[in-house]
Amino acid sequence: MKTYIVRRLLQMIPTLIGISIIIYAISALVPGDYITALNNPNMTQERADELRAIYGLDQPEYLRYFTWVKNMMLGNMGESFQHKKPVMEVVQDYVWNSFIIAFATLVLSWTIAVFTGVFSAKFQYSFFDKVITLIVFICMSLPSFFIGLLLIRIFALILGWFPVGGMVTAGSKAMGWDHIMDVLHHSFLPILVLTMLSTGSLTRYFRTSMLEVIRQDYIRTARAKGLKERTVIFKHALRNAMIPAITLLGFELPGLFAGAMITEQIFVWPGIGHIYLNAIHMRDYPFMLGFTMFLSVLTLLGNLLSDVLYGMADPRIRLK
Amino acid sequence: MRKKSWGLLVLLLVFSLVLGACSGGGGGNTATTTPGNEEGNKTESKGENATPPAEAAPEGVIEAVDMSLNPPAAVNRKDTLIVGMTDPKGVFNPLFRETTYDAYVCYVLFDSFIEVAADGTYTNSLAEKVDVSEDGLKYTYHLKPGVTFTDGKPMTVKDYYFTLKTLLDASYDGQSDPMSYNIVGAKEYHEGKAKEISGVKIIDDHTVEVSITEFSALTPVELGNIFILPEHYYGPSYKQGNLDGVKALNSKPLGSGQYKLTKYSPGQEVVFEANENYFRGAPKVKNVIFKTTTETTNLPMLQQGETDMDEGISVSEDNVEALKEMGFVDINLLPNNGYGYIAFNHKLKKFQDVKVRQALVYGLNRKEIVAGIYGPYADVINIPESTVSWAHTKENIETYDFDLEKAKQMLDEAGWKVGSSGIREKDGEKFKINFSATADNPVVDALLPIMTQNYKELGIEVVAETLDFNAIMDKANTGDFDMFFAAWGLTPDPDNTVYITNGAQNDIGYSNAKVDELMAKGKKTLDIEERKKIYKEMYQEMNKDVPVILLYQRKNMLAVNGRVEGFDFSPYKYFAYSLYQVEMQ
Repeated sequence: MKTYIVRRLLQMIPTLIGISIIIYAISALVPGDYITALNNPNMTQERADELRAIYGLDQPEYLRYFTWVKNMMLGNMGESFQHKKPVMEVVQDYVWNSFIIAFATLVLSWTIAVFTGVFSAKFQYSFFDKVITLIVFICMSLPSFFIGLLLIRIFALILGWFPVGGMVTAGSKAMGWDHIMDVLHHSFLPILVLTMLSTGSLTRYFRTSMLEVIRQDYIRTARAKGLKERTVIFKHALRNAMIPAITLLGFELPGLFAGAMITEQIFVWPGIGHIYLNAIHMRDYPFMLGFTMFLSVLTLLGNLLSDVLYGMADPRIRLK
Repeated sequence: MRKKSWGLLVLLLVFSLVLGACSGGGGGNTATTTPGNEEGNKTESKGENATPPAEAAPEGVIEAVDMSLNPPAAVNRKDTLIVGMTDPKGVFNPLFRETTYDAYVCYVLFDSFIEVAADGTYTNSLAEKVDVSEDGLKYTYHLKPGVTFTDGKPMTVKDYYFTLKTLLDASYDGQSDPMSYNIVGAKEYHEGKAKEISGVKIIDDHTVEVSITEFSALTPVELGNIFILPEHYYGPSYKQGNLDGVKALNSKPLGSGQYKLTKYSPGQEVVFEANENYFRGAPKVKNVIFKTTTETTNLPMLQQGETDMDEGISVSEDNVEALKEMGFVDINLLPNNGYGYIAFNHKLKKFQDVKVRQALVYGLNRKEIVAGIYGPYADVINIPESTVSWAHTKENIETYDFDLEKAKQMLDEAGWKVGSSGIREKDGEKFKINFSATADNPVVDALLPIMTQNYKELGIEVVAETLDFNAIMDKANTGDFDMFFAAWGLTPDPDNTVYITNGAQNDIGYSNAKVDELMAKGKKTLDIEERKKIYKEMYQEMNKDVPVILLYQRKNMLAVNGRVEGFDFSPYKYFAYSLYQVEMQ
């Protein structure tokens, strides 16, 4: 197992080099740079040239690539043009806010999806199954900005149960428990929207995978043994049905840190999503590339994690 | 060329798909503000030391009607004013800030010798008086006595000198262009050949003399409107040629301003506390918070009393109606410092004929387009200047009212005859316009159908290609375009490089000797009445020569809870300057 992990980690190096070349090339081919994006009506050509020289934008593309890679290997992602501070500091400022709602959404949507998926499969084509399928499809197909605005209207404006947006009450000096409750209060609506969006596909996934397992011979054997139905379903069937889900879980890892651009924007959640999008609009290369690399590493680690978990969960798969 | 741009478009799409896949929330990118348009980067480094403008600012204020509707959340918050706005980037240093929102924070925290007034002129702020030598090459600033920074240390002109040094440093990467101020010795300091700036003479703690090699109408503002940083706070981390230490303090600013910053949570809020020793008197409201809002939340937050005012509500009939319905909100409509226009590529032969350009304006129903986007909250304009500027003129200005027949006649005169296909031709060339359209831009969405229809009737074919904003700016820089829509921000002073031959911002290739001459003359004239005459002549010439199709000047809105009083703002003087005067009921 250890050698397997080490080997996989080593394999990540050429993959990362490939990724870095591709994302760098794409960003280099995109027209415009930070100076043009600023669109300052008073900027003279001399000043623009000087700024390009300060930022290193006057260098040829391939040289800029090597400088960037060299600095990254030394642990220096560069300084964000827009924020005028190191990229990792900007990421730190926002990414944990995104993580809070992404993690809560992950836990909630998986829990709900497992239960609804299992029951829909167990009672396939029943009334319950049909209702669940209907609800799931409605949630999946509604655009996030629409549900978001609808929920703001109902829960914040008409009922007044939840705040319109933000992460804490303005000017709040609350610490400890009060602070946690304040954040929970504010995060309820965004988490609700994100959970609604992501539970749908997961439910369908678990239902299908459960349906396959439930028809297999060993389930019949388990039932014939006289085991309780609950044990059959949750212990024998679910475990096997969940194995393909491990792959999904691995893919969720980068999603935890990537930020949900639209939902965060609607609820003014101070996440990294709109910072990232803004960096692309403004051609803030250091941040744009740095954060993309960060997500790439997480994706690769997520893949590795799901492979390793696969080996642990399923004895039929032996990792060498 | 077409093939190449398709390639870029595909790449852009691929990139946005890659990113979209990472977003978790999924979907496109409709809910964000596009940077680089007239809102994103207002610059106000230029200005004018002059008498009030001839015409009063046409401000529309719709007063609150029923304060009993005020939500309890706002009424119960006695000592805190909450301002809703787009989130700043955390660059809280007046030299480095780039977005308008960072600038608002800086206006609250820092002061300068002279400050913009509501009418766009400048008045003394930290300066007791400013002396200018007869030849206009020496500026002497007298600092008011007893001014302190918020840590209690007194301010001296040495702090001003220190700020000049950081501005002129070789590693300075902010938005100002200090080398163009022509300060004596600036070049030597910039290049690291001198340790001091020879043109700055510190006479005593409260008097400083700055010498320049060349003056212009902008000099008083360039030198006087520099926000002063305390040397004892920023100085120790500054070494000539390296401003990293100064920039590291961006999120922990210290100035002499109305308020001091007590907390900054990125993306959430900026919290200020009153500076009891403010040199213009202690602010009346003890706490101020700049809270982040977005287009989807700014109205609901104001309605719930979560904010007391909002800076960024877009002006539309729906929004104004919604605010009126709330009843407790004062709606201030201010003309925006900027204008929307459609650019021609003057390097192309078809646009070089002034008759053709005029015909294209006559043949476009600008009124319908502008009304379609902004309703009554924008005006069609015919000169590239704000209606509230002292340089604005209506004298002898052709309004180019929509007139298809006249446009057709002018095109005929210019030699563009309707061919067999119904499209006008001249010398075998068909009149076809490739319009580079910005993606997700409401103006372009309203403009294109009307333009295509109008020009079709004229016998001109319009083909649109949709690109992102930066791609269009890149095309503009390289001259690879026919027409595009964009907007310019305006500074209080009419001087700019947009329409002068080979001007830094003249990416449309426009050239007119008369405009060049008048613009240069206006920059060198200090007397405001003289300048008015010069710019009047220049705008009349531009009005005839049609360098671009001018579209509109729209309005901005400041929605303020009726319990807040005492603001002094205008299109030139942002609300943040007068926070210290504000009172709450």
